[in-house]
Amino acid sequence: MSLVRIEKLSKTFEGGRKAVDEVSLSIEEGEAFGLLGPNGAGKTTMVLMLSCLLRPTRGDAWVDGASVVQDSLRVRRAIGVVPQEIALYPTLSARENLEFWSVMYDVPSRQRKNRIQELLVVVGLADRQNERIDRYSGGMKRRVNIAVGLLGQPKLLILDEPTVGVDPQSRNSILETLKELNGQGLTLLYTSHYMEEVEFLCPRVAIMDQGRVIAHGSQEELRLLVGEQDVITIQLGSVPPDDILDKVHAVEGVSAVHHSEGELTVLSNSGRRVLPAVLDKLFDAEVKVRSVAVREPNLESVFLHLTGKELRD
Amino acid sequence: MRKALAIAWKDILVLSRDFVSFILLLAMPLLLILVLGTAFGGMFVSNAAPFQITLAFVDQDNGEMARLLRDEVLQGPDLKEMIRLRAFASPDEARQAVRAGNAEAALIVPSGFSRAVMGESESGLEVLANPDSTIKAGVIRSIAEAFTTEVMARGAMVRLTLTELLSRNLIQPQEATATAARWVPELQSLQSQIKIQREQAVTPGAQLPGAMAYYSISMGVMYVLFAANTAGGSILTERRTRTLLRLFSAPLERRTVLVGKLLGVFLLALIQFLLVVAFTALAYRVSWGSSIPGLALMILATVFCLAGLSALLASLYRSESQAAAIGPAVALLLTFLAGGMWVFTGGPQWLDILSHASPVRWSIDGFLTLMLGGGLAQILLPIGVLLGLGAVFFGIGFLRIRKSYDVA
Repeated sequence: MSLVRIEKLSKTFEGGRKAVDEVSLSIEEGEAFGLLGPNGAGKTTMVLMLSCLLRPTRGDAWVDGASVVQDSLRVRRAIGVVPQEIALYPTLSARENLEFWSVMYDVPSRQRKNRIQELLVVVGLADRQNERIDRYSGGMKRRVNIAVGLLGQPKLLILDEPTVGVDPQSRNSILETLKELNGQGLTLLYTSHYMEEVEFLCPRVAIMDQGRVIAHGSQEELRLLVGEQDVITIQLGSVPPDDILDKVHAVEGVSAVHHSEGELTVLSNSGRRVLPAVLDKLFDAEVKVRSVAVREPNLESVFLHLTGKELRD
Repeated sequence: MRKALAIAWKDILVLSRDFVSFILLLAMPLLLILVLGTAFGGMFVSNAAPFQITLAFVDQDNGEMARLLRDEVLQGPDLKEMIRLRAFASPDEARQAVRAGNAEAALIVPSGFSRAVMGESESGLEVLANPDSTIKAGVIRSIAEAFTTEVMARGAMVRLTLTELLSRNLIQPQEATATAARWVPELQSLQSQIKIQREQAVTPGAQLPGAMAYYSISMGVMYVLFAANTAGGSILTERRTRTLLRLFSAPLERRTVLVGKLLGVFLLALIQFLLVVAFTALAYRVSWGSSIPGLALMILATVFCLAGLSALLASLYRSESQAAAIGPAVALLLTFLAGGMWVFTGGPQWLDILSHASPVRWSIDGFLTLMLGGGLAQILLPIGVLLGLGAVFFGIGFLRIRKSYDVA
């Protein structure tokens, strides 16, 4: 049975901007579901609606059978939310923050102490629990942010880009913790524009762009959308001329090409075969090349294939 | 309610961790009370030094009116404690005493004053003033003028009546003299005038309990506004740091969040004021009166009103920087308007009326009444006004913030 059911969920802001446009999805109990898309794709608006913080313009979503429109209190009892921002009180310690939020999340007073201690162990902060949050590193703050989301023992944990601004080591630690929690049966809805995180954590993924879900399914199903194409990534050592994308795209066998921040990404049915011709075009335009890599398709290439853009645009 | 209390307590805890702000909120009013209380102490008459005038009195009349003035008025029940009378045989001796600073003023009853009052000739009392004691000399002058006016008027009335009675042969001349002597001393209206003169004359000091006490009230109340404004600003801080959204995504009603936030404003303001009261009572020996219920109610009413005002202001702010700029400015303005910086007494009446537009003025009035010995019955008006204003402020603030929460 689906823990989350979303039907034609839409949000139009004042001025007519459609942030979310008729999104329909379902998330099964116990799964980790990824919502992948670039900034501005509508992921956060989706999260806000599912957290009952924003009323949908049209459509509805149900969490554990309760409607976000009609029964928000029941929905909020079933979810834990980890926002993109560090939504904590910086001058309070991790323990004090958790004590406060445990009251908000109706943790019974007799269980409070143990629950907080358990979570501090889970996020690896038991030994520094009495320090003020503003003295923590970014990664430590993020871990407390997650612990708060877990306080109410939610059926669904909604995480909105929970690793923004975190160093790689802390990011790995957070992802490992989430994977472990998911392994224990916790359902996750994970939004990110980091393809690697979603690939690591979420067997099923929905890709969003401009408010719409442009594809969803298992990672394998999504990769099949790209077919057998290779992804050629070329690091450039100089600024290419404006017409370089057209010239590379004209190479036989190239299906898509994109340039961003000194990196050229090329999709092709046969990466190794088209690579010399692509490099010729670059050399002809006197563009310096620093490195070249050819790899298997991933969610990034799926997004590129579907939108002609990169996830981090 | 449990969650609202937790939110309120959390807000106090968060503010207490902002060490600099917390110390400023607690230490600044105490420091200001000390500085202002010391600097403006001369404008006030403290409990330790009651308002007293040493008056050199010269009786050249030796008549009934001079006796009346000395015994019934200057040493009567209303003025006896205020005026210390020293009798001198001649005006020169009295003048000498005033010059030497042994008396603040001299009052000379000239020879024939009693006869003049009852007859048709004009006469007046002479007042000599020490230039360094203009207020005290002014008091004596006012009393002398009030006495002269009253006895002259009464004398004229008696004279007319007796003339009429004599012309109709209804009384004999010897009876007329006895009647006049009986009627004139009944100076009831003079007594009431003397009371007014006394009350007006001794201002600004005599109706105030001392500079330290006065500024304990006004600075204490002003800093209650500062504290409440700081707590009110946390409503905006929570919006910026997104903890407000997190609260809204937790299983609690939005009005519970709002009640908790407003409760935090109220409690912080209450703690602030209680500390000022306790500290000034212990360290500065300020007496907040003997009516414990009166004091408790005045504190609660003041804090309720000013916390409500801060909630209303918080609902109008768009940003934390607005709160930081506007809140203290409003606190200063209201305190100034209320006469909290320096006393307006003796100023124009319109200023006195205008000052009642500030809730701080009602607080000051209520606490002053308690300090001057009043009880609960005497402060019902300020308490009522403060509670009424507080209810209006909180009501509007609550509705406005709730509306903004709906679109958060």
